[in-house]
Amino acid sequence: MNAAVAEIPDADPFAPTSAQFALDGASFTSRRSDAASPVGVRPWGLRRALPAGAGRVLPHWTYDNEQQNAVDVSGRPLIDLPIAGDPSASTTSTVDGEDGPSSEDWNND
Amino acid sequence: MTVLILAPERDFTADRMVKVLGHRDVPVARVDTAWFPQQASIDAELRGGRWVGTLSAGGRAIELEGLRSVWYRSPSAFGLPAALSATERNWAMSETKLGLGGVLASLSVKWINHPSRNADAAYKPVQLVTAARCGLTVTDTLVTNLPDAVRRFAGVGETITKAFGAAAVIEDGGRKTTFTQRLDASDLDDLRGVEVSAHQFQRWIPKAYEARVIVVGERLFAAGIHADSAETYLDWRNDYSALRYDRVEPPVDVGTGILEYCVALGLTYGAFDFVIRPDGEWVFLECNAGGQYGWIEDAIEAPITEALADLLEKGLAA
Repeated sequence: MNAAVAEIPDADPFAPTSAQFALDGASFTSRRSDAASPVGVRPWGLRRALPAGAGRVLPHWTYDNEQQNAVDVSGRPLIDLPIAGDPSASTTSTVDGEDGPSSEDWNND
Repeated sequence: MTVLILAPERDFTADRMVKVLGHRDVPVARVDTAWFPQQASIDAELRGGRWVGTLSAGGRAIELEGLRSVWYRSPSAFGLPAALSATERNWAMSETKLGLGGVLASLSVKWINHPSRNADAAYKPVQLVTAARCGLTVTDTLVTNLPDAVRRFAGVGETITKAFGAAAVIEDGGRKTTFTQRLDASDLDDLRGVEVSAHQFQRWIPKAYEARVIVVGERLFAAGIHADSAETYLDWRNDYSALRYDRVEPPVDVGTGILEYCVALGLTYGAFDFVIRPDGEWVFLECNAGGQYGWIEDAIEAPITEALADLLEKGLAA
């Protein structure tokens, strides 16, 4: 599952909030090279945005189609390793369940 | 009959569900929509007013008519070929969402939750009105892009601001977060940029602690969240390591309001956030229809995955 794909990390493919109004929200591509705009241009709500912490790096893992879960290099499910229950695990940088993450989920739960 | 889990590859909560359903000998197929179209395919025909055929993914041929339930765990965006132009990607994304997404969305099976219900429930202003209608206490809130309106609202009492949706953006080479912030004099002196988008402002609620209430069907699992730092007292998402949890029971009227809220928005699952005032009153903050629960399950030893598995296993009979 590592084929080169376009990075669209925040786009829900299925029923994004934008589906209720416009239909183009799912095509947004985050651009890491974007820079913060100057005061007056930048939305006020982003003024105090701060870099998220680095978190902790997960061990190398792959997705196992047979087991249907994430496994380490020896094939053990990550959820069976102590790291899975560690609340200080690496940020997943994924959503808290919404189109457009409402929070940074720091827990690889 | 199979349980379909739509989830990203890195989702330990989904891993746990696969394990639980496996122990119950319930057939399960897990798919990340990012596999489509390069690692997955759809072959569906409309017959007798329903879609029948096969979703092939993860080395499995998943018969659409053989599904009993779908667990929607925020799967990743379709993995369109990188060679597409932005215009082509936009078109292909829309076509795939409406085509593949439409076939899946039409399935008459048990959904937790149906993504369209999640979409409906994602709007904070809708959440606040729905919560109030269901008897839950909400706080004064302002939606505006007018600086004068912000000053008027903030002049009445202590005020916080937080995003309606994404509390994180990617720019300057990395991820940035913008959680709940208290407004101070310097904020009110310089509100340039408020006019650029809609913003949310709310009255600050004095708090003894916060709670996350996980709803699974008609079952409630509530965790008290106690902050041990100034940052987490303001917004517990600031530092999970500075939090303590305990099992709590919402007041009866709050529990009733929560369940009515779920009925109103068609939700089988929901992650509700509350502030509990020093006088014990529970104040609704928001409900994330797809919110995380894994760390809460561990912290308060609540059988949330098992409860979800019960519903997924029973399907429409639940």
